[in-house]
Amino acid sequence: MAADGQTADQGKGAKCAKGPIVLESRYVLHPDQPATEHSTSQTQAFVAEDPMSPGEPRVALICDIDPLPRIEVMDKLRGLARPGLTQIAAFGPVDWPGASGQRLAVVIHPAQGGRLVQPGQAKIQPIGTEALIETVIRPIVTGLTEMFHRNQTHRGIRPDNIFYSDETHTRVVLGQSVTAPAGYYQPPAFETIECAMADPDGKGTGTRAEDLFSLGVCLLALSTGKIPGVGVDPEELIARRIEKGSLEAYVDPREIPRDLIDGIRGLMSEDPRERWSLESFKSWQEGNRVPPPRPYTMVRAHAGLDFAGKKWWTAPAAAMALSRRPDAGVKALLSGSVLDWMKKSLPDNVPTDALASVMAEYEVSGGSWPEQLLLAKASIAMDPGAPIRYSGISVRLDGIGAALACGWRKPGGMQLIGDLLKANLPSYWLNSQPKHINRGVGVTAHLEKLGRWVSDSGPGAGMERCLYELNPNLPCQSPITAGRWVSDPSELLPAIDASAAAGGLSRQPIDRHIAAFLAARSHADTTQLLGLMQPQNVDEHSAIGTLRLLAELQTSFKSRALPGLGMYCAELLKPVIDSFHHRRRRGKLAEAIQAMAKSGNLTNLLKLADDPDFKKLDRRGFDKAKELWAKAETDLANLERDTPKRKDDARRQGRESAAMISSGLAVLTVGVMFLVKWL
Amino acid sequence: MAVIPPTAAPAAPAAPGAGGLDPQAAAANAANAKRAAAIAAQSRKGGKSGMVLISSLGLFAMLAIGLGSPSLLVFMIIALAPTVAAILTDKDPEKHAAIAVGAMTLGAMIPLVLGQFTAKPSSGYNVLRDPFAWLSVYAAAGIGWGIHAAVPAISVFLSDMRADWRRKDLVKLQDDLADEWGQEVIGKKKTASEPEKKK
Repeated sequence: MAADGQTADQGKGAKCAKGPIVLESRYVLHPDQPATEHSTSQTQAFVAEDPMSPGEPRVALICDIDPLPRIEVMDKLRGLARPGLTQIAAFGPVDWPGASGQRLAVVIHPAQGGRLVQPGQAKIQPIGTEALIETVIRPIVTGLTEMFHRNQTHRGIRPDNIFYSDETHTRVVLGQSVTAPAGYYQPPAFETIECAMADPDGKGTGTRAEDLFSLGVCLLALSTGKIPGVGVDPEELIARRIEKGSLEAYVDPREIPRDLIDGIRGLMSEDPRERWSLESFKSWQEGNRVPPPRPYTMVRAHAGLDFAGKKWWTAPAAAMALSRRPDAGVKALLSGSVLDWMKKSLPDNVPTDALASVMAEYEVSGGSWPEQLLLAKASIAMDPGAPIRYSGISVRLDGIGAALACGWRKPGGMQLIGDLLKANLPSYWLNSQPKHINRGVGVTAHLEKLGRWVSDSGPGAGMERCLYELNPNLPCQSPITAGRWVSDPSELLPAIDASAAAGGLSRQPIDRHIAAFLAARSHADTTQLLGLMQPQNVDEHSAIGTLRLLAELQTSFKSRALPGLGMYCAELLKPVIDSFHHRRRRGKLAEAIQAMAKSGNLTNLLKLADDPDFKKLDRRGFDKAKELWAKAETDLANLERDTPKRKDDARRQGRESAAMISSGLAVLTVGVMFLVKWL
Repeated sequence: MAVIPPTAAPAAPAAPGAGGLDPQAAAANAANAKRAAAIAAQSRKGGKSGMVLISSLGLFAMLAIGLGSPSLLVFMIIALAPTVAAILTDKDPEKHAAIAVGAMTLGAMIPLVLGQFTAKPSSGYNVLRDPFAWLSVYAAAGIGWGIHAAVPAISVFLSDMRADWRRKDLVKLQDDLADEWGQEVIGKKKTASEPEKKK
């Protein structure tokens, strides 16, 4: 539904007013009625209505881009009504009161029975095995089956995100997990060790294995009544998990009901290759025997590494400790104490050799690497499976995009990710993985491209390009779009047009964000955009190039008429008009361009401004005129120069004529006299 | 007769440092100059010989007439005095002034001489004593002088007028071109403030 002051093709947008807001001409959102039960720390929830289903409750979740919502998951799950899953009714941009720019509203069918566990609770009443299987496991497995069938992961499975679907508390549903990056709200205890070590916005989409691990921890918590990780130092908990395995680190396995122990152990295996799949879990649930995962083993040092006032017994835990304290970590590395400890105390030679190799490379380079890069590479050498850790940030390979999007608005956040990409750490991390990890040719090539873009300051490159390449659903962040939620290139031109029509465009209609957005989403040749990014340097070629690109975009996205952008382009085309020499023709062209610009048809505008026949005609005429002018100039100069000679010639001719006239007169006189005398 | 300027277009000077004129160019210059001087001299010589021929024929005719009538000879000699003066004062090698004055004088003199010849001896007419005859020949000489003075001036005036028209035409053409195509047509860069003229 078009909003006041909005353009018609912003149909996805919703009406902005002080009262209710309408989304997709159907759902009524009430900004004055918060639904706190469904709010999170970053996402507010409000009461909504669906007039087509009166009496059924709806909740609208209002998202910004920090944290970045998972639009790709919303797309796949929209309208999907299955047991165990919160149904997403609709989503789209809305003009939310009090917000600068549009927000993404997600309308869900909320569960009616409340949360299974309140957030922050450390202990709960254990749920009996039978009830757990019927009430919790069965619907959640059904929901996960549906999600996995659509190649999506939930990444939000934790007790406080499980709701009773009704007031009778006979079934549960998984709460939504689409308003933030995957695993954003997950407590570290409910994540695999690798994800737990990553920053909330850098955990990455992950795989089904991560969801199944979270399910295993949930079952553990609900069956024992103890919520793991509450009130425990996360770093210490991770170190204990690395050393003993998560299950043993959380509880004494004897506390787990005997009927569930195999299932929980299968789901909580630390090795993703050993971890049960959903099919294995379902098979076990049906009473079949499923091979249990191999017991978790971690090489423990004979003596702990003394660092930051604690002792660290494993290489991954030591790497985590070093990278979480970047300055002290670098000092410890450079002092050689870490490598010495590994050589002396760690029976596993693999990480020791890898670290020795990194330190040797650093020494060979003469210490030319940044120290934080040394620490990052050392961390990867000591624990290849851990996230990429650099200068205090910790991101998994598939979480760089979300981390970049969330870090964009934070001071220094973009710079750190940029440095990480420039240092080519993702490729280094990928090459350090064990052989069984699929490196993927496409991934390597993509990482190389990211490295190139981040070092390229041209239009359509830079960090902005990385941002949009890594986040395919991120709306354009350009201030030129005036806060509109532009997630598709087809929406971009109308947004710029609206800005232009409202006088919001100054001299620069396209900035680095728009160039990168177009390059990433439409694969346009953004070198043409240079003209628009540096309007003071626009010449006729770049103006035509820009118009051509915009016209192509208008055609390919079947955009409506864009009079605002047309008028801007008309202004931009002044050098083109000025390049025509014939004044009258130039004046007519300017008038025609103005008229065409007002119509908003950029293709016709391009045809008018870039007519080769017209240009040729003008050029030929101008050359001819120049030739004529030069000839006239030469003739004038000759005339001036030859004046004395011409006068001499005239005088001489005059004298000759005088002689002839006199002679003629004499002959005539004589003849007349004779005639008079003798006739 | 075409007059070739005494100095033909000089050849391009040699490059600085080459020690003045290129010997070949200098030789060509000298040859051109000689040829031009020879043609001019020939021209002057041709004009003079024609003049001499005409003068000789006139003198012969005068002597022939004078043998019959000494008074006619005296008349002719005195009547032709302006012509002789014109010959002497005219620096033009082709002696256009002398031709103009002489032709007019002859035009007036011939009927008078023939009148004297054909007059009956009894009539006692002597052209030397006829004031009308003197008036006629000197008036004719004066007219000859007048024609010689006026016609070149008129010719120059007409030539100037034609040149002025031509100049105006060329300037107008240039203005029209500049109006139609802008100042770039004369090689000036266009300025932003250049007004657009609509015709």
